[in-house]
Amino acid sequence: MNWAMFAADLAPKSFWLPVQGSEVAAETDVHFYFIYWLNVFFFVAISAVLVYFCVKYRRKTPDQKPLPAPSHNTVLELVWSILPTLVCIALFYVGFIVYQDLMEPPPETFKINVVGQKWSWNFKYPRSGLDGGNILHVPANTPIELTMTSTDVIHCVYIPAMRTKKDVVPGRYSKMWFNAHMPTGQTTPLEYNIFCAEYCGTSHSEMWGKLIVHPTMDDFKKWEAAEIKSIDLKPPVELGKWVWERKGCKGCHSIDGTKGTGPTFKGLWGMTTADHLVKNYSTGSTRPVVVDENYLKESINEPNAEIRDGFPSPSPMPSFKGQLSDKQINGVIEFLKTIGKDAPPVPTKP
Amino acid sequence: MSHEPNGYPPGDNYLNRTKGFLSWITTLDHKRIGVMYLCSVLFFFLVGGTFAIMLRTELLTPKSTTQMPQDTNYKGQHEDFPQKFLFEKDTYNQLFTLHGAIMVFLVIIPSIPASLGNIILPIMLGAKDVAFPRLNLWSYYLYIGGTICFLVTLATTGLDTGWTFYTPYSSSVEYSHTNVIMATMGAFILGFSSIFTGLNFLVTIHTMRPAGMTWFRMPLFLWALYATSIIQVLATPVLGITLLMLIVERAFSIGIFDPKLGGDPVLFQHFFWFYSHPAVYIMIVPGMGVASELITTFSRKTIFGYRQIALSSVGLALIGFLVWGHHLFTSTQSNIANMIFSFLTFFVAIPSAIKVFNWLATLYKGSISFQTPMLYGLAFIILFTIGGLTGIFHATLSTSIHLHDTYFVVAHFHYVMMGSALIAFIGGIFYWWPKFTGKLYSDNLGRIAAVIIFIGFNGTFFPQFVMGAKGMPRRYQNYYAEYQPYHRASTYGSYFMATGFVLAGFTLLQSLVRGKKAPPNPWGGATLEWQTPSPPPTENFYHTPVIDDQPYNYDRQTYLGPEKGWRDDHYAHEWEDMVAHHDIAGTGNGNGQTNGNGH
Repeated sequence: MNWAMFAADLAPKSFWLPVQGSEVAAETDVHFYFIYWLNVFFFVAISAVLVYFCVKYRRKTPDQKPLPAPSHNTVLELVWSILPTLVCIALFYVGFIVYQDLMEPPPETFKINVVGQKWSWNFKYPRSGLDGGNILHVPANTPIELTMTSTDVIHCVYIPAMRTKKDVVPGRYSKMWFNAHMPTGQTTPLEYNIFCAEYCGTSHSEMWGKLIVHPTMDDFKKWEAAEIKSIDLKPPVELGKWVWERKGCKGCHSIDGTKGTGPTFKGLWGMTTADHLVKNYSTGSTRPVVVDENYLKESINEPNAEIRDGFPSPSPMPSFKGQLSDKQINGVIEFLKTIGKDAPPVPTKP
Repeated sequence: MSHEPNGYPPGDNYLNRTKGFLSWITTLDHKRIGVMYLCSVLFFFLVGGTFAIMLRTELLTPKSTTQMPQDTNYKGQHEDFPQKFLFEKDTYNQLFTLHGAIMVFLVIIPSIPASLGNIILPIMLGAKDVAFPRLNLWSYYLYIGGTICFLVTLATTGLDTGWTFYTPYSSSVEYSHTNVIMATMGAFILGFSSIFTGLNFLVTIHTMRPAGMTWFRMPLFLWALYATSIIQVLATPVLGITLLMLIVERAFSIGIFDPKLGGDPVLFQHFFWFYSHPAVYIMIVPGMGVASELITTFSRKTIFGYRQIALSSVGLALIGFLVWGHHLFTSTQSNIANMIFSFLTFFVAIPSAIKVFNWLATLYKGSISFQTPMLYGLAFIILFTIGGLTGIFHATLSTSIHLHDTYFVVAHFHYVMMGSALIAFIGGIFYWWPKFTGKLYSDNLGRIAAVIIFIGFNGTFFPQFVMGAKGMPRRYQNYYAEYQPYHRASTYGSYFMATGFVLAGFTLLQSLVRGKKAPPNPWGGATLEWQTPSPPPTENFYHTPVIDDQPYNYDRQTYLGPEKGWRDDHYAHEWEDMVAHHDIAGTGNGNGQTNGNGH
């Protein structure tokens, strides 16, 4: 389903900041604008004084002497030391109070698990067992708690509309929460960007996700049930294509012959020993291999075992062992068959 | 008279005493070492700057790729965009990594202390050289060693970890396939170069001040270098050991940072920023020192609040050690730690604000001249004000979370690192150029270049504040079309700024060929380096100077015209000898035969 069809045309409310997706976002924006106007005030004041002095006291003759003026003034110096101190302490305090709102979830939350790996997100719903790929669906007006971890390097979930982000660190779980707000009268899902904000290698800038906010819990549950059913009932080829799109394959493997970080899937199936050389990362030896079911399954589970000659070794691809079910792997294989070497041409432009 | 200039042949100076390549690479003269540093630093500034221009060019247009999600609000946005990147993805990642690493480790950190500091610090102290001249040359050799490591990195597989070397990306051969060990080795060696320079300066300032120069009669540039040296000596070893641990993990798979080997990746960030945050002050504090000199000299007025400025440099150096955790606000660091670091970070604002107010008060009732160095001094105040004020967004926890790792941060630290530290460096070069080259450059060309750089700088980095606040993450090669107008503006600004730098470089090079001979004191500076010929003799002074006043006494100076510059009555002996031995009357061919008529 194409959610954008229903997405409201959300325009940001201000010049500086993106759309406000939550109450907390609105609170931090108040801070942003408070500091912003404070900055504007000080900047204009300092620049105005600077320009005024520069014009008024400019040197007109080469040996013009300065006018008599004191070289220090204790009262003035105390004032401009203490005043910024007080402003800063006040800012710290309010910043910290809202920060607590940003960081501390309410006791009852709707929990979703997140796995980050190069270069895709995987959002999983522990209650229903649904495995959602790189699009995060949530109900509105419900505190959502993400429990996140990474299988490789450090990533960072960043949702600008929620004004929040948190690193996704391998070897530990990090938590982040938000409560997506639904404007009154809004009955269709809202859509926001999710970025990776911590540099994670080759395709870091394309590690995109989407956040879809459903107006009510009921809408969300309806979507969830339909999604589970549709994934279950998908014929293998469609399931394979879904996996390709949503589980991160797409980031590196094109299906139209374009060269990516990994080999294109177009024409991969059916390559023979004549045209398919692979390299073993551990031994460094090269040998020809036929692309068949076993080769594909091995490559999904152990990317480093047999790397296509001419591509980076060790492979940047994370292992999908345990990430994909046998059914899904089977789907990928069936999908690759349809765009294989001898397959009829498929409309491939995504 | 303690030190007769008898030994000097007429017209002798540090540049013409000995000649030849060998005489330079074996020199122990702090001025020559400083000049060699300057040339190396400017070369790497050119390299790092070229990388920056390449990055900005790539970012002119977003690209339409298979990864671009199709169901978005910005439907159809990418259809018109090219499908091909200008650079391969890995190449782009290497470009921003090397831009950052070169600019930080090879350019900004050594820029003011090691080049201008080396040239000027001993002269400002009325000394013949730094305390340990051989150690000084060794620092330079180490710097060259470090740069060779970086050049080898460039020539082999490059570096793609980001200049911050975050683990486990950098520490595992599985993730980064580039020459991380060579680059970290380079940074390690450069660290020692930096430590030795700092140590040298500390000892020199402690032991070699001239008679009468008490601590509070020291020029503010020296206070700034003193504060910087403390940080260099105390913080850099932490970077050294951190990089060694990284090398050990990468080379021998000993688990320190990589969770697969039982390590902790966030630990690396603590270690790294324990150095790299103080390093921010290694970069900016000397710039503040230069700005203080420029503003007082070109206002012809004693600096306002001398003690406050001097002590605020030391204050910044100390507070700088306590705030590293604000780089880890989103790193899973505990909320309590975040709270403490946010609180401490705000205290950075106070010494910074004090300095800005004092500079403004110095201008008050001054006699302000807008020669090239002063334009950089004024640009410094404006750009540092923006850089400093926008720091408040990052210190405040609530807004910091949103802005962390976006272009807002990129803009903020470029305003501080480039708009302040590097602008002060360029201003310092223009200020002291006549002193150490003995040539006057075209002030008009210099001023035009300064204005172009100032406008270009704001054109480049101000749009980055806007797109960052709108959520554009940093280190991105591809982006959504909504951010394109800001990227475009930024790129055009960078081109404009680049022409300014080319013009500034041309101005300086032209002066070497066609510049007029510089008088000892072309600007009316009151500190000691202006009381000796330009360029200075090998041992800096004809007479060991004696100090009897605060460093910025402009009352004793007389203006003798553009050829002869300014004469300081307190240093009458020095002046007479300069007249006798150097062509400061501007009448002859520069080999010192003039019987000056400088009173």
